[in-house]
Amino acid sequence: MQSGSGHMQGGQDGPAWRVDAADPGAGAQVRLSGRWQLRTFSGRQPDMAAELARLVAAHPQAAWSLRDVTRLDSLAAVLLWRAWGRRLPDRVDLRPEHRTLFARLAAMSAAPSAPVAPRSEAVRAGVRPLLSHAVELLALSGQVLLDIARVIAQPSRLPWRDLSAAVFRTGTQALPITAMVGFLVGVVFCYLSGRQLQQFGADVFIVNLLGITVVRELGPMLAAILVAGRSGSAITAQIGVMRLNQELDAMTVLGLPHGLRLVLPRVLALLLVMPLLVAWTSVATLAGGVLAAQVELGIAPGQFIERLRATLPILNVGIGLLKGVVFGALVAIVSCHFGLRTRPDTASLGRSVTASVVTSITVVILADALFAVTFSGMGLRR
Amino acid sequence: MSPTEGVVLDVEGLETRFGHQTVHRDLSLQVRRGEVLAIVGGSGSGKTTLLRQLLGLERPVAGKVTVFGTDLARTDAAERAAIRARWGVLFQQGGLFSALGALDNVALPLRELRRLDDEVVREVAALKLSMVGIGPEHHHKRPAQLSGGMARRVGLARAIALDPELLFLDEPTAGLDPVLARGFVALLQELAAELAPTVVIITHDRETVAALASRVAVLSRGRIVALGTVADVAAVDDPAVSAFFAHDAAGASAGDTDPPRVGA
Repeated sequence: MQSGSGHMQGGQDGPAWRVDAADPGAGAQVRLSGRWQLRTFSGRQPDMAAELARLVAAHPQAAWSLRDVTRLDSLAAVLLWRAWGRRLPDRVDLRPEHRTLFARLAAMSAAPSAPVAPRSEAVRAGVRPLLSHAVELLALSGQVLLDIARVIAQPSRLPWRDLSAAVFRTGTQALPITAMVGFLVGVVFCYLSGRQLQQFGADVFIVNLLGITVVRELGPMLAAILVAGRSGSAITAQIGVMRLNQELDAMTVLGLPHGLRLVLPRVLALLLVMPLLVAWTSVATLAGGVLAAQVELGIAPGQFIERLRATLPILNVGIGLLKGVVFGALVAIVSCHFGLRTRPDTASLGRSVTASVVTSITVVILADALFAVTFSGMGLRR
Repeated sequence: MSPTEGVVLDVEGLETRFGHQTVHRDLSLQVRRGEVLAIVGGSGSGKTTLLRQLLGLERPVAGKVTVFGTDLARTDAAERAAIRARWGVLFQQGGLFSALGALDNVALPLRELRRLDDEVVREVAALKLSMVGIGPEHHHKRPAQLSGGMARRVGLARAIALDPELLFLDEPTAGLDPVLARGFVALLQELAAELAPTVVIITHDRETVAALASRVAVLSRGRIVALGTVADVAAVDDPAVSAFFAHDAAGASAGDTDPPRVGA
């Protein structure tokens, strides 16, 4: 007697998989045949699994025959295994090559361990890493100072070629973008503040306002943020890829210290370049201001510059340039730090670059606040 | 021309050129169903480029590569996807995704089918890993945390994740020490017996060839200079062939002191 329930088949190429279920009372038999292969399941696997589960439920005591199964791939084996409840049926007829497959599945016994959720990793990324970052940054800064001392004693040890390449990449190539951003910010800033000052008839004070904010605050900040974004990320990515390629290990083994060969040239380059970029950005921003002042408030450029010279204490220029030096060093050290901390996988590289840029900018703003407090009484007329 | 029955992979008059450098000229090769073909040759003979051609990663300047009866250069995305579900590749460098753990690396091709339960996917992946002798304690390790030999085995598990009909192995034993290499060859033998795929091995290791290959193709100067069983090919009088088979006998090879063992 043929049971109505157990008859299904599928697949398109060759002899497809096939199930025949006979249910003559006690001696129920389920016979599988054909190619039980991944590709011949054209439908969705959950349907297939449900189908098999129904089959097992309908014939709980059945004898299973897989004699005529020509191919049995891992997916089919796993599906059968799960339908059988992770054990072979009491009566089952298997080909020897399929027996090994099920033996493996039996050996795996318990279900594969659930994936360790990366969540725990995220939770741990709380306070302790922050501390370890701070300690490592401090150590790296100390290392840079020691390296600088060593290079002063023995200038030939400095990789001059790397230094000049870094100066070119972080400095020369940053000129257009810093000039453009500075100029536009100058135009917008002057336009908006000019409107406010006009209400009090204090048009000409735009020069005082623009001079002090741009030279002392805006220029260094703009330059630092742009450099953190373009050079800082590049430094982290470059050193990170060197970790991926085992170049860092190779350097260690060859006795080339990372500090002297990688960190120092980049830190020195930014130390040298940042004050220049700050000056450049400030000039571009003021130029934007000059333009907007002429158009919006009718202040002639000659008048603007004259008044700027008269009202801006020169000390502010010094503070701006000093900020440039400090910000440059901070961005370079933070970027190198995250580059060196990269672990040898691509996801870690991505995280490092993000963390590097975010941390650089945050550290720069913190440092800027410290500057504001330290120099609060200097260079400002009352 | 319809490909003859039983030919899984057919290369006809293949020509590869990079700029002015011709890598392959008029190269023809057939791989028959169920055989284990080793493609051997010295470094720079164009082995790896040939593999890239077979995988459709390079486009031939002339000639064509037919896989499962489909010309690779004339396939659309769906056909290519169908072909790629039927073959598996073990890359020389492993090609494991460094951001994923071992289990997820093996599960990836199964997940990409997009019609399987994730629980089933993980169980199949775990089964594949157990086939290559990787236990559950290593399932979550990233490739960087695995030893070279283990990473190679995870790569193999990923290559066989879909029970491929056609398996490409690029330098399967390169960079492994002789003991590990022998173990890996034994593993390949075992899996070849269990899964019975057609295998194409790119190698320069004579021991691998002797242990696994049913046929050998010697690649030299951009073409196949000898093709046949190991014994047949060893008898061919060609500098490239004798260079390959006499290498160890001359003691020129480093790292392996076994006496030459040709034929099976």
